[in-house]
Amino acid sequence: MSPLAFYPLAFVCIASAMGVVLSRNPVRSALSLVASLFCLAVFYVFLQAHLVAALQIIVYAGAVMVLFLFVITLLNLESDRGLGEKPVLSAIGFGAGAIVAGGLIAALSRTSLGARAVTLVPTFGTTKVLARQLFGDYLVAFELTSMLLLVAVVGAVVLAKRDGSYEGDEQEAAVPARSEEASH
Amino acid sequence: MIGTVHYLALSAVLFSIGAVGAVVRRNVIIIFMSIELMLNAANLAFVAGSNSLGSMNGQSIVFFVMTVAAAEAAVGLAVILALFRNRQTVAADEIALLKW
Amino acid sequence: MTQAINSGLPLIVACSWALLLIVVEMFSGDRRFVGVAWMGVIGLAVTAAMSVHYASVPAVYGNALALDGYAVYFNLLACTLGAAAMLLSIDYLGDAGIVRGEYYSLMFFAVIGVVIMAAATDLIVMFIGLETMSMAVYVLAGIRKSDLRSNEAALKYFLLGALASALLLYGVALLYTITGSTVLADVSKALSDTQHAGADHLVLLLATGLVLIGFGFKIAAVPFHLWAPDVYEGAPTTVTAFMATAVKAGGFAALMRTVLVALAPMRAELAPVLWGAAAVTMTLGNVVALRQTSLKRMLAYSSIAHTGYLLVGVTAGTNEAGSSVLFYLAAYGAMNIGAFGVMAALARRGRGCEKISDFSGLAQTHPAMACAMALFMLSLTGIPPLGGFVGKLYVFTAAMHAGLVWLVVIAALNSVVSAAYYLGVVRTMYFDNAPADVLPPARPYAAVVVAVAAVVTILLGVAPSPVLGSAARAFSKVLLG
Repeated sequence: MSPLAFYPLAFVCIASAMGVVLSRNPVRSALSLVASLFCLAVFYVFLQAHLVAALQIIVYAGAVMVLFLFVITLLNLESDRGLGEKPVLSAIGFGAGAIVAGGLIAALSRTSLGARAVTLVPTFGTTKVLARQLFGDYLVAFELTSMLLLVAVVGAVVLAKRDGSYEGDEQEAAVPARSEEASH
Repeated sequence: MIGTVHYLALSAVLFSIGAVGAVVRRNVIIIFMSIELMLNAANLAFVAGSNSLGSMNGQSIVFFVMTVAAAEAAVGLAVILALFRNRQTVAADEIALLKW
Repeated sequence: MTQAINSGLPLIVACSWALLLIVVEMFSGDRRFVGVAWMGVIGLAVTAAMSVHYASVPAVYGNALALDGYAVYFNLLACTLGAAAMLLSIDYLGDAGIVRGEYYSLMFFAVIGVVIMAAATDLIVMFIGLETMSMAVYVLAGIRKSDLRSNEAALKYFLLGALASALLLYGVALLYTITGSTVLADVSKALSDTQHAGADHLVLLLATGLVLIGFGFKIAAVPFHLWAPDVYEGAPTTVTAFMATAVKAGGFAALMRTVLVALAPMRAELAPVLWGAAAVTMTLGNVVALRQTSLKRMLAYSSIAHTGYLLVGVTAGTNEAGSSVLFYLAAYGAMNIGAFGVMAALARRGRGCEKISDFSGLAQTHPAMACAMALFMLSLTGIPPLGGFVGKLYVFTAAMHAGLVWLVVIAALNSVVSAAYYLGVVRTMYFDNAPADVLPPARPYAAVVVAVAAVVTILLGVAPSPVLGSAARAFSKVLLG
């Protein structure tokens, strides 16, 4: 990837990441995150991870972030005061974050990574190879993630479903709410 | 020329931004999104590493991390929803029945 | 191939059983879900039995899972603790207003997560196991949906847990980038090579630090313990019992395998960090526990203190220390299930039975429960001849042999301090007067679990050799592999 493409894109990526953290409005945060995820997808393309780039947009920027936006609008969240609530803590936080990032970059730049010269095989990054690997070496992990998703679905239903069937007082409260929902 | 170190440096910056957001923000949804940002920083490191090693393992791992992130989003948003039903706030400070 | 499938069978059966539980629960007309709970217990027993059966041939499934002695030991431990927590829940749930049959399948899935964490030989598989366990426990902590404290416990546990996972994952990502693998044995091999290069050393240290922080959250080591008291207090008591025992065991299973296998070449650098974490964790846990008036919070800080004692064994890192940690986890599981079991047995709607003062005069009204509780408290203090004492003795002896004299001195002093609050509970039960409104009679299922836990606590104290022997056998292959 040429520096002319990398640096502007990296700048957009970092700026939108900052947008996630700095925005007062959660919707704006979520949209900044989507922008940041899109930039990452572009990097994945340049790193020969084509399927990952596609999944990043379809699954992450698409499905997962829609879920976020859905909950934000469902809860009708207003803006809070952003970082203004805790200016000192925020300053310390950002200072510490800058130190962590600087330290990591300094440590990374000293590594042998820069000297690593690997010629990628032509099939590197193709879906075929990735699929072989997912259903070969990583078969166990693949099956386990399917179970993980099941646990998440069951758990989310348990928590999010409004069941007025227990606790008399909640039942009474839930019934009018239901009919109100139905009338909409 | 842009090499692995550049990508890893970018991922380190994203990771730090996410970590700071998770610590200093008080809106639980924004904290959660900051954590998603950290997961994505890890993904970038995996993809960059996989490219520099010439091995596809890192890409497979990203696949799993995405699944985990999706699962986390489902459960996490359900937890937030359940709390919001009982109490109309998502500010971590106002949730003080148990000390933060 | 057959061998590979065989070694995976216990997990396959466990997953299918958990799925079956969801379906059965749907058609269960019983609002107390007694049948579902028993089905869960039987499923855990089957899983445990199968893992023992198939472990006779040490089989490995790809690079992902190994059903070695270590995994089988934790499998048995997690299944036993999970079954105990399920039995405790039978009467507790309905009374606490939790009418969700999914409770049992979620607990089953959490046990499966622990099993995966212990069996994983690849950091990514370990991560997936950790997430499976955590995801189920987040939901369990918040399953009392009408109770604000339960909601908040779930939220806090979730946010800090997700943060810990992200830190852990970034550490793994850096390790992968440098070493080129996430398989524990390969990481170890690569680390001992690059160790000489020197240039990568700093990044490796940072990566290792992130991994340790990630696990530190799960086992509630100071300074990553902040969630524990609130989450333990807010979650339903039976879930707290599960979290304090099985989840902690899972955290230690993963931590020990990672530190002692994958990160073995970095032991010299890690030792001071683990030393400090162990010392601070047990001291802070014990000192803060002294001031608690809520029994649940006190037990939360006590569990932090015990994390410290267990970390002493991890710091030593020898074969002897590792097997002592395994033994201690079993003893710790028995006494904590018992202590939380007493609370669950006596709790009724509107009467949480969570404050220490709720137990005043318990010896007059419920002599058996008071006696069992006193036994667990004495065992937690580490008074002979109970399981807690033997566990501590072995861990500390192993640490002495590894040359950690000062750490053992600190741990011993801590045990003395801890006597103050554990014995305070005993004093309240035996020497204070019972309040006018006496606690209700203990629930039958919970009483049985408490009785079994008491017997196990005594047995581990007077006849520790069978469990200790299997712990030693379980651990012997880990360090070499």
